[in-house]
Amino acid sequence: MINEFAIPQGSKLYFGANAKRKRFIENRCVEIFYASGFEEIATPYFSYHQTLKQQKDVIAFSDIANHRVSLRADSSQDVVRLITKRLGRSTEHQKWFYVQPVFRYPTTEIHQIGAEWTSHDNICEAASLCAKLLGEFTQESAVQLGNITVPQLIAKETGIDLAHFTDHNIEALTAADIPWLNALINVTDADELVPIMDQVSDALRSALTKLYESAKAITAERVIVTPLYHTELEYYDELFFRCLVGNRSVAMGGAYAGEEGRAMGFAIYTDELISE
Amino acid sequence: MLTIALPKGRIADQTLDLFKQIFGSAFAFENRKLILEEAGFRFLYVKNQDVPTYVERGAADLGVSGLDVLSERDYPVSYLLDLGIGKCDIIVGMKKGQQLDPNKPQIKVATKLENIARNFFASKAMDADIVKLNGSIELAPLIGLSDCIVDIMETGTTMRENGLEPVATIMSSSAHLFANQNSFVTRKKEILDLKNRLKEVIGGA
Repeated sequence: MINEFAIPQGSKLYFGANAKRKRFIENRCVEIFYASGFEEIATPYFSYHQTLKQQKDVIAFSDIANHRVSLRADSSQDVVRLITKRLGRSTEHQKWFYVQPVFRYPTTEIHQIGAEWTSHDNICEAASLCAKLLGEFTQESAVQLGNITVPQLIAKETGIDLAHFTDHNIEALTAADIPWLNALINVTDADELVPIMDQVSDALRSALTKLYESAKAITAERVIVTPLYHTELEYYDELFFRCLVGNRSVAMGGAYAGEEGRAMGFAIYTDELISE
Repeated sequence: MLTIALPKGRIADQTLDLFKQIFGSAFAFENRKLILEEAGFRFLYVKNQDVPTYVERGAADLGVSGLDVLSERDYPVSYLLDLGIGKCDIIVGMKKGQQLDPNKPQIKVATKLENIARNFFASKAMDADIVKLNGSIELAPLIGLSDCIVDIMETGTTMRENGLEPVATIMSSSAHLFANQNSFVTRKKEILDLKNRLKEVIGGA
């Protein structure tokens, strides 16, 4: 039996102080986005084009013609597709923001404030903007910066299973007993990458250099470099960042291959800021 | 201050003993208190199966759990160090003289380790009807509730005394130190320093 006051698990209810805080956060972000040259886009709740690596998380059903349609599970995909395929003819604007939820199976709502920056390849600006937005609501956020190609290259060059990086299995990485890899495990600051660069292959040095230079160019209270961090990313394919408050992840962003060259985006998890 | 979740019982005592060897102070929970603060660490005294949840959800930065507990669900945590304590095997046990019969259409398995059991029998292409129990697992085959059990075995005494014997070892387990993945980013230096000091006292350095 479902009680009259029940809401589905994972769905969100805001009222009173929480609703006020949510509105304040969203409004302040909107002000900063406009001041930074962004335009707003709001995409449909329903989509024909939603794909996730975990496809079972997409809430899908059929439209009247029996085409697969789903609730928006990821904002970036439709934002970028609609900007490049539909609005592309009428606008050359490249900086877009959105304030909208995504939905995951069975009944999870995730409210996000996000940005997509098409035809742009400087992740430092996106990470700095994200840090600036978070700085409006918390004093303790840190930007974690990684390069997904670093663990991929190490796995390829050493034969270490990439799953050990994805599983954060430090035990297994340490057991490989490779001095420069052990040094990379300990890295948190960009400067700590420098003495390691001479010990690695040209390809790995190039990927680490990108990480080093980007970390140096981000404007944030604290930038933590995590060269070995690997996770199942939906489309970020090189530099990516997460923003952390304590041990909570409050935002994520990165660079990816867009419809027209490189692009980047990020999303702030609104609910994580409401509880601040 | 790093917060560390420990499983109630012997593993907590042995882990605290390692801390005593490193830091010198007396690390012990008083009476029925569930929180201990000592030498700049906060320890939480929680049920064995709950330790990874405390760490995954960020209530603790670090945890100590057996691989059996960690393997039961794919917890997104950072694995740091095998502490070499709480050693045991996860075994399939049957009544003395019986063997697993792969030709049986289905086997009834009593266990509290549902996923480990399900994955093991799936890897053998055997259909398993899992009967979830929370204790006294050895009783199940004796009264016909199951054909076999999947359980933790340290010495094997309880099994032997109940007329059971191991017919397969699924995995060997010991207690591991692991971290919340975000804590391992924001507090990596402290966490790796502690891990290295623990490694030294357990003789792995």
